[in-house]
Amino acid sequence: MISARKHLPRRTFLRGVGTVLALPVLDAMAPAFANAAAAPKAPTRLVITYVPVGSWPEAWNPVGEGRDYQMSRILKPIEEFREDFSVIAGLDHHQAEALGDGAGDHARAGAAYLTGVHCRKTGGTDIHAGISFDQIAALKTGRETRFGSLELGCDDTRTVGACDSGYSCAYQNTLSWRTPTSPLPPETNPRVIFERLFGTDDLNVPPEIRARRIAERRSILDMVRDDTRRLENDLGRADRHKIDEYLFAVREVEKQIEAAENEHHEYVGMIDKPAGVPVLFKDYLKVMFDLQVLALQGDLTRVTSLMYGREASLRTYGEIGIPEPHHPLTHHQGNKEWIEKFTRINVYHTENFKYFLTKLKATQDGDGSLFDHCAILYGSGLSEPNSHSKINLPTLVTGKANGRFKGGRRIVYPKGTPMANLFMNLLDFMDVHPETIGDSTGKLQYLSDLS
Amino acid sequence: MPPKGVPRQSESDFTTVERWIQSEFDRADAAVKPVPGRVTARRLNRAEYNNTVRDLLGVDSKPANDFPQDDSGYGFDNIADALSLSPVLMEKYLAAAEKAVQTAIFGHDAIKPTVVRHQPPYREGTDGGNNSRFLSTLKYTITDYDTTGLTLASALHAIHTFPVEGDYEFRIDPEGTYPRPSEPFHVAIWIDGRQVAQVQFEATTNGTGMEGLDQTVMVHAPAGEHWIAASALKLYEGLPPKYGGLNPTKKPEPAATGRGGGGFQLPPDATPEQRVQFEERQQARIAAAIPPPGPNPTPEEQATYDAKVKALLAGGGRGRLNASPSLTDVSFRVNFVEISGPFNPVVKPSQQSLSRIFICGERTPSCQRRIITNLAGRAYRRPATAEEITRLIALATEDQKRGASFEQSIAVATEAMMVSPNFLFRIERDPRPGRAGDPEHNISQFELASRLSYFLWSSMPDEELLRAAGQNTFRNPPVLHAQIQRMLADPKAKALVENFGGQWLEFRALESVKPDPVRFQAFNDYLRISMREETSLFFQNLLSTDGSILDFINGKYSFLNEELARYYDVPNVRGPEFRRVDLTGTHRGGILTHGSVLTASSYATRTSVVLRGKWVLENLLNAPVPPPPANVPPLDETAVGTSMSLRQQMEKHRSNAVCASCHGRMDPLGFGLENFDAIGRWRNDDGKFPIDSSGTLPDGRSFNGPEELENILLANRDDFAAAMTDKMLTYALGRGLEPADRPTVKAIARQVDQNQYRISSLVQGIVDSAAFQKRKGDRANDDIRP
Repeated sequence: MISARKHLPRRTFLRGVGTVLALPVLDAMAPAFANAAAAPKAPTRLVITYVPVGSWPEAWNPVGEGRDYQMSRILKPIEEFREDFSVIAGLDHHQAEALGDGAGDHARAGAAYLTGVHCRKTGGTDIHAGISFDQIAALKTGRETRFGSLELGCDDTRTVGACDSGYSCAYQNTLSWRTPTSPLPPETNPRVIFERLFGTDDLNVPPEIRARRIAERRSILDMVRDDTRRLENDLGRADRHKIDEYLFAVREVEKQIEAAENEHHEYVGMIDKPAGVPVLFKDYLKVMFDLQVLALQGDLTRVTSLMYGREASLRTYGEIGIPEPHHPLTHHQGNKEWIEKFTRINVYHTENFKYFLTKLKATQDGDGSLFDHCAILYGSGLSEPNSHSKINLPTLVTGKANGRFKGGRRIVYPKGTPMANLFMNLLDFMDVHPETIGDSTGKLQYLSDLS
Repeated sequence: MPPKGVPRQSESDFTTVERWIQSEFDRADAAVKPVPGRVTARRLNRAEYNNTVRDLLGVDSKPANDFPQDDSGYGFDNIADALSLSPVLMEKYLAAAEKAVQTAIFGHDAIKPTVVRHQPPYREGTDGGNNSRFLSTLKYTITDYDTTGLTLASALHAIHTFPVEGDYEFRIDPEGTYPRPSEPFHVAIWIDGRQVAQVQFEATTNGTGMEGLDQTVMVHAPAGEHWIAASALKLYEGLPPKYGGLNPTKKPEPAATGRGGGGFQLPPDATPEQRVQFEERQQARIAAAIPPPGPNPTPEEQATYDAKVKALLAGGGRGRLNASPSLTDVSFRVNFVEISGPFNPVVKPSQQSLSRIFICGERTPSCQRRIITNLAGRAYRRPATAEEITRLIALATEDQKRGASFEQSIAVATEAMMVSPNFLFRIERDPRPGRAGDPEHNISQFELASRLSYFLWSSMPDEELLRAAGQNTFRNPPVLHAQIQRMLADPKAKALVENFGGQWLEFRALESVKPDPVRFQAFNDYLRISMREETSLFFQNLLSTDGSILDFINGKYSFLNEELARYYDVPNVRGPEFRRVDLTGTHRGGILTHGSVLTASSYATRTSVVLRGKWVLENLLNAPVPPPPANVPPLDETAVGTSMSLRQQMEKHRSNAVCASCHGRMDPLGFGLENFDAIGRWRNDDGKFPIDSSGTLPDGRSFNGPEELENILLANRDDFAAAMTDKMLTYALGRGLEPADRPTVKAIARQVDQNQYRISSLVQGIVDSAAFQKRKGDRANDDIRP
C-alpha cells in the first residue's frame, strides 16, 4: 500500500508535504488501519464506475455464454481478471426510454442509471428522479463510517447553457440521488477530495487549540440549527424543502465531527496530497482510483462511485490521438472511422480500470484483499449510442463481495430484464434488503450460486 | 411554409392569416395578468459566495472555487430550484467560513509551498523533435514581429491562482533550439500583462535541443487569480547573420562541421529520381505554406505570390539540413512553467479586513455587541433581530469562557453567521406564510436591495444600498434608478458581464473548449484569454457608457490587444494591453464576429452552421428551436472539404422535410457566419471549396455574408430586444419564465425600444417590473409536487 506513492507523477503532488502526515484529531482517519487485523470480518463495500455514452455493442459484447466465452475487444485489457468478473448481458433501463417525453436520452440515462426511475422532464424547477441504490446502501453503512458515500467525477468543465433537451443538468452530471429531489453532485478535484478525507488543517496546531476548534464547530452548528428551526415557521413549502436539505447537511457534518472526536489515530500517508486535476486523463483516473482505495481501506466510507465523465461527455482524448469530443463521435451513423474512434476510447477506459482492479487486489484488508470485500459495478447507461439504446446495457460485475459473488462467466438474461434487478443483488451483498428499487421485478439468479 | 411541392397560398391570404395569428397571441398575452411569480430561497452559487465573502470580510481568496459545481437550469447557474445543498457542500461552508474569517482577523495561515506546473497539454506526448508545427503561426515580417514575444507560438500563457501575496519561484523549462553563436536571449515573466522578471538563456549547439536547461527566478506576486505568461524577448535579434533577423550578432560563425546545419538542398550528385522527389517536395512545401492566389489572380496578386514562394525557397523552409537557415528554424519555445511558493508570504491581516470587522476598538462587551450587530446586519443583508444578536453574543462569550481571545470570539460569531441559512440562502419571507388570501405582495425593501445587488454585482448589498433600503423612499423609481446607475458604474458590475454575459453569450464555455490542436495550431491559451477579455470588455463598456444594446449586433468597434489584432488582421495594435479599436473597413464588428462566440459555437474540429444558427436563434432572436428527433442522421464530417462542401452536405441533410422545418431557420443563419472558421479566423475557402456565406431565411429575406446578416438581425431589433430581456429577466429573477411573464418581457422590450436601446433602460425595466419587486404568496404556489 505504501508503495502507492510511486504511482503518481511528480507534478500532481504538492512539494513540501512529507510522506508522513500526522493529522489532527479532527481529521484523523478512521480506525481501520490500526485495527484491521483484529476486525472479525471485513465489511463489504460497494464500488461503481460509470462509463458515459455507451459503447459499440460488437466491441463490448463477448461471444458465447457461460465459462467459455470469447473475450471482447473492449474487455481484453482486463482479461487477466477473467475469473474475477462476469459480463452481464440482457439488462435494460426501460425507465430511461422517452415514455412520451421526447428527446433527452442522455439526461434520462444518467438519472435512471442507479435509480431505475424515470426522471421528471424539467429544466430546473422541481427536479425529480429517485433514490439511487448506492444511497440505499449508504443509509445503512453510513451509520458506521465517517462519510456515507463518496461521489467522484472526471468532468471538470463547468456546464454552460442548457443541458440535454429541456432537462436539468443535474440528471446528466449526477448518478447518486440521496432523495428523489437531492442529487449528490460528484466532486472532480482530487485535491479537494483528499482534503475532505484527510483534512486541510495545519498539522502544527497544538492539541488544546484543536480541541477548542472542535468545540467551536459544535456550538456553531448548534446555534445555526436553532436559528433554522425558528426560520422554518416563516417559510413556504418550496423554501422549507431547501431548508430541510440544509438541516440534513448540518446533521451529517455534526456526525463527522463526532466521529472525529472519538478517533485518535494518526494517518500514515500513503499518497502525497494531489495538487489539482492532472493534465492527462490516465493520471486523473489513477488518482481518482487511488483516493477511492484510500477511503475504502481506511473504512472512511463503504460506498464510492466514479463517473469517467458526465453523460454525453465532451472529453477529448488527445493522449490516444482522438481530438474529437466523445459524445459527437458516438453519433456515428455507421461511419466506421468514428466507431473505431469511440471504441478506442472505451478500450482506453478498461485499460485504466485495470489499474483499479490491480490495486484493489494488492491492497491488504482484514483477512484478504480489498478486492475480496468489494462488490463492483462497471458499465454505462447507454448501450448502442447512435440510437441512444438502453437495451442490453454494457455491464460488468466484479469483486468478491466477501465470497458472495463468483465471476468467470458471461451471463445472458432474458430480454427485458430490468437493470434494477441487478441492484437488488448488489444490495443483497451489502446486507440491505429493500423490497424493490425503481422498476425492479426481483433478483437475478446465477450471480452467486455457480457450480 | 408549405413543404416543397405544395403550392403556397396567395400572399394576401398569408398576410391575413399571419396578422390574425399574431393578434390572437397578443390578445392571449394581454389576457394573462402579469403575476410576479415565486422564487424559491436561493442558495448563493459559487460566484456569489466568493463575491459576498470578499465584500463582507475584505478577503478575496475565492473559497468557493473548491466547492462542487452548481447545477444550471434555463441556461444559468443561479436558478434557485436547481441549486441544491449536499453534505459535502456543508462541510465546505464550515471550512471556508473558518478560513476566511481567520484570514480576515488573524491573517493567513502558514501556507506550505506547493508547486504547480503549467504545460499546454497538446505539447505533452507529441513528437518532441518536430517543432515545425508550433511555428506555423509565425506570420510576420521581420521588421514587424512582436518583440515582447507574447503573441508568438514560443510563449506560454496560463491562468494561475496565487494563494497569498508573496514570493514565488518560477521555473522556465525551454524546448527546441536557438542556434549558436547567437547572443544570449531573455525570457520574460509577465503577470497580467506586466513584465515582472527576466531570465537569460544561452544559445545551444545546432541540432541540440534546450531540454533540461531550466532557469529559475523569484517573483513577488499578488494574491488571487492572474494571467501569467513566459515569453522570449526580441526572439529574432542577436542571431547569426545568415538567419536574416534584426541586429544580428557579430560573433564569428564556428567552422563548418560536416552535415550539421546543412540545408535541404539537392546534392550535386543527385540521381534523377532524387531530383523528381526533391521537386515534388518543394511543391508540397509551397502548397502547404502559401495559399495560391485564386483562379484569376490580378498581376499584383500573382506577383505577391511569386515573391512569397521565392522567399520560402530562399529561406530554405524548416528542413533540418539547412545551409541557409531562416527565422523559422529558431524553434525555441517555453515547454512548461512551474510555479512554487509561497515563500515569505504576506501573513498579516489586511487593513481593509480589520476595518470592516472592528468598527470599534475596545475589547469590551459593548464593542463586541456593536461589532456583531454590524456584521450580522451585513451578512444577513437586513438588520439582524434582537434574538439573533443575543444568540451570536452568547456564542462569542461561551467561546471566551473556553479561553478564546476577544478577537477569536468575534471570529466564532462571524463563522456562525456564515454557515447560517440567513447568509447562505437569500430568503424572502412571506408576511403570512401558509395562509390563503395572499396572492402576491411586495418583497421587503431589504429583500429588494438583495435582489438588486445579486442581479448587478453577484454579491451582497453595500453599505449605501443597505442604508437606502432602510428608508421608505427606496422603492421610488428615481431613487431606485439612481442606485442602478451608481451600481452599473461600479467595477463590481463586471459580475453582470461575467455571470450573465458569460452564460447568455456562452463565452464562459471558452474556458473548456478544446479545438483540435492538429487542425488549429493557432489556438493557444493566450488567444483563449484574449478572446474572453474582448467580449467581456465589450459588454462592460456598454454598461459603463450606457450604450445601445444594438451594438451587440453591429457595433463597429471592439477591444483588442496585439494578439487579437494580429489574429483579426487589424493593423497597428501593439502590446498586451486591451484598447478600444475602430473596426470600420474590417470583417469584424458586433458580437457575432467575436472569436469567443465563434469558437464557443463550433465543434472541436469544424464549424457547425447548426450550432451557430441555433446560437443566433436562441440567444439573439428569442426563437429557440426544438431538440432534434431521435436517430437524426448526423453530418458525415469526413466528406466535408474533400468530396462535398459543407453547404452541399447540409443541403442534402435538409432535403428531408422533417429536418427542414427547423434547419430551414437555423442553417441559413449559420451559413452567414461561415467565413469564420471554428476558432473565429476569417477564411475564404473551406478545404478546396470557396465559402458561400449567402442564405435565405424562411420569410424570403436573403443576405450575403456576415454584414448583411447583421443588417437583417438589426431589422429584427424587436426580437433581439425581447431575446435579451428574456435572458436577463431569467437571470435577474433566478427562475425560469412562465407564460404569465410574457407581457412583462414585452413591456420591458418596448420600453427599451423607446429609450434608444440603452442598456440601462433594460436593467431599469427589469428592476421596475412586478416580477422583480413582488412575490406570489405561498398558497398561490401549487407547482411543487410531492
